[in-house]
Amino acid sequence: MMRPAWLLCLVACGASRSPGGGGGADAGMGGNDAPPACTVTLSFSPTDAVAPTTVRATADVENGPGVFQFVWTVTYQDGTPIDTTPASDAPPAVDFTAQYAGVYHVDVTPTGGSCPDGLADENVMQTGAITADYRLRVWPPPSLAPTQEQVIEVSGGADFHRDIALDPGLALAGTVTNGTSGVPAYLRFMPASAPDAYGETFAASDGTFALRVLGQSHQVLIVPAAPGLAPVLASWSPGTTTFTVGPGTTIAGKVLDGAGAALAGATVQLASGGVPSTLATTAADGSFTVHESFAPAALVAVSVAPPAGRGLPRLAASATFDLSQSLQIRYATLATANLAGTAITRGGANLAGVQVQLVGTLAAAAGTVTAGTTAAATGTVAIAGTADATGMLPAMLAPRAPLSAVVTVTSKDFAVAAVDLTGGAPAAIDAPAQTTATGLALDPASTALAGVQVDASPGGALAAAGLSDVQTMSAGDGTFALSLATAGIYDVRFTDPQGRAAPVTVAATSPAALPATVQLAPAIHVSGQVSVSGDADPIIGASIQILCTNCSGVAAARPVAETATDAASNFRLAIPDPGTM
Amino acid sequence: MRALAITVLVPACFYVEPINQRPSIAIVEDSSTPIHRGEMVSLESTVHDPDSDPVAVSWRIYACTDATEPAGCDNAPFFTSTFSTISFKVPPNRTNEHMDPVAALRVILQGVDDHGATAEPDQELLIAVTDRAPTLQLRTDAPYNFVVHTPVNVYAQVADPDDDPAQLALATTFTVLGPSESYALTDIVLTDPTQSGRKLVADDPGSWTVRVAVADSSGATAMQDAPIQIVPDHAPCLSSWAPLAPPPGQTLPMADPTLFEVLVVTDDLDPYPPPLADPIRGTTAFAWSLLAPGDTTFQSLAGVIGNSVPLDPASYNTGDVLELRVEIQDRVPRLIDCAESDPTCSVISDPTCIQRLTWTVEVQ
Repeated sequence: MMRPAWLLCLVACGASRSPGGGGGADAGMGGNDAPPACTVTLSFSPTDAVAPTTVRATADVENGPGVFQFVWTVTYQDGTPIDTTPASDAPPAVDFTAQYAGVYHVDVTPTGGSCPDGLADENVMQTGAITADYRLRVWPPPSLAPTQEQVIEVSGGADFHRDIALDPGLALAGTVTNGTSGVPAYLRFMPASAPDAYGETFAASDGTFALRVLGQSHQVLIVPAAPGLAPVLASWSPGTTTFTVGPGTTIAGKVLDGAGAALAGATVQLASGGVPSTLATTAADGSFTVHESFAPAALVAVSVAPPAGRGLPRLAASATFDLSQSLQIRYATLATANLAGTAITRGGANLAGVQVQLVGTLAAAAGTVTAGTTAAATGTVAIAGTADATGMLPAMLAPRAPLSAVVTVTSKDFAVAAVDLTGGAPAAIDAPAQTTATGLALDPASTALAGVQVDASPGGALAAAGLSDVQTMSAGDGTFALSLATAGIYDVRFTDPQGRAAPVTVAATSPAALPATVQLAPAIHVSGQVSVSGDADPIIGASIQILCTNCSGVAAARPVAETATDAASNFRLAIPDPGTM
Repeated sequence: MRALAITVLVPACFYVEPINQRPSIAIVEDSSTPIHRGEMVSLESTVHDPDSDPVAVSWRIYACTDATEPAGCDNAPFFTSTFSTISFKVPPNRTNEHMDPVAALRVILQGVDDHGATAEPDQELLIAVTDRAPTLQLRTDAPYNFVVHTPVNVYAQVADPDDDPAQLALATTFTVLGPSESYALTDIVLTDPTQSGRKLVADDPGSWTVRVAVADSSGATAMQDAPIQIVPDHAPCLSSWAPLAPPPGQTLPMADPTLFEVLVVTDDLDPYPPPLADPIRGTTAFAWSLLAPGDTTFQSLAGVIGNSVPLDPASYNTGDVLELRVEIQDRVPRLIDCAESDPTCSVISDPTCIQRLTWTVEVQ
């Protein structure tokens, strides 16, 4: 994954802020003759203070007429007042002892004039602090600024303060057109500096769209919602307001079954570099046509979803195909088993009306895709059926292969069982009763922790069947209970919404192997204020997320910690403590 | 500073052989303004000696509760002076066992000339000391925006220029007037002895009043009302989410595993994300459901209670269209009774505050 570059203008450690936040809207601008406003800026030395140490705070007054006296107030993060010692009259400065790591709030009041207080927070680090990188993503109200993301380095062992100044970006109003009229479409604006922190919008039926984007170059994925128009990845830079889409390149092809007969009703789509083609459904003769706008000689992924009832797997193949040629997709000869009459049982009793999904990946190639070159296609089975009132499956073909059956008994009751169809359909598929995984959630001090969210994300066959997470909250005594598929595999994540501890994850565990006691990780707190450059109004309800850096997929989007700004634009959240050496 | 003007003419005594005549004395004041404890009072004496002898005066001023009764005054004066004009401060309390508030002053003025002749009788002045009413200043603090079942703090700052404020605070009473009797009023412990506070938790919306009254030890009272409008719990509002939900008629393409998440819910009591370490505020309850390809009704994702649901296109066929729906509730259950086909729903008929959101997703 590409490491996102610094995007936000984050106010550095110890940087000053004006009282009330907002920060420097338009001082000195606007063309009137009013004198520039007085500002008091604080700076600290050393900039990377490590406790215990002496910190010097220095005030810089600009545009303040007159002679000032300075009243200094320093408090530790818990409100404890800290003594100061005059260090200099010009420039005005004081020293204070930072005995402990954490955040020191410094307030200097210039008396004798009309300047505002100078306010700043100095982060003092812990000795031997270990650092860790996180992505900090901010989702401000879309009308104020685009989503922005940056990587931050977090030092362990102490809370810290960090103000966030957002780039307001540009208000973009544009049109998607096919050259003659507007086209409804989905648009994803991916900034060059942080493609994952993209902005989205939908163009209306007349092709018009609006959103706020950063003033930098973007890659824009445009997926037209009109037939016959190819999705396209376009480059955008400020000033451009119109995107033109067209049919792109037309790719024709045919899908054949294992016997070489045309396969009607299959869905075919190509993709390259994150850009899909249009979707096509094969005709009675197996033929299809898609439209694409891929780069020449690019790696192209072909996916085929078979028609229902044939017992065929989904096909997927990738290669640098010669798309000037017809695309020939052919299933391998796959023997199938018919599960008609197979009973779905639990404890020896048939389960009526339950849904069964057969899932799995075939070991051998399930077909080929040919266009200039031939690529073997993998086969992924995802075949669903529902047991009748007697608990028997209806006619239901599936490849003769080792598969898994995921049984949905109720919306809260799932089972997974291995089903080997190599030798044909079994007489029964047993759906074992769920098991209740119980445990105790503890904080880092080994105290029982109530209100911990326990989230079991299914893996393996359960995930392949599209089952959703199973979640619960720990009770007042810290205990929790999760009803899970006995033979399932889960990633179990423990999160404290109250920020008393940092999340921990027990990866790829069976319910039986889930530890009886789970201790959440130590947390440190980061607090600060969010502002939009040039806008003095408070930023209320901006979502702030801490995300992992070395992760991908859904894990890359699942926040390690999240919060929202309050009515004063402030935020505070708990993140994992990287610790100290 | 106030002064009294009371002149008492003392008849002089005459002798057949007058050698030295008694002087006459009087107390002068120039105002009838009420006098209060703690104020400065000025009195002036006038003397007349028929022999033009110098006359020395002496003042004794006693603090009293009832100056007409001998036991109503302290035994010892709180102020003495030999000046002709005096200024003194009315003490707040007598020095008796109960430290009674001063309600009157007994002023004794004596005069004697340099031959030892005294003015008779002594001049006595009884001055009523008026009790000042206490004052009240109220402040209402509603950290939870006056929502029903949440605390509203009412603070009273009492003051009294002529009584001990700490004693007043003890005598401060809080009375609740409201649309029902269902409420709780509990003490708030404050370190400032001049302040007292109560926490009101009202169980019904409407106009409530916390009436605060205070009386000093002399019975003077002050009363003030803190009007409090208790409001119902507001419906939660989906504020932001990701990815973007498509407008009707369009679909969101999904080519990669995607986390569908509610980023922010605004609510008076149960927002998402929840605030850290708040004893009253909770968090939003999420209910997710999925309309899978080929299904006709949404199926509850009953195991999911959090703010997000991941979907993996690998779990579906290319071209599948599915609908993922989230509905939110706060601590007050509300029926989200829009038609199932409605992608959004507002239980308060406010399109800017929806409790249902639907992503229509096309698997790519």
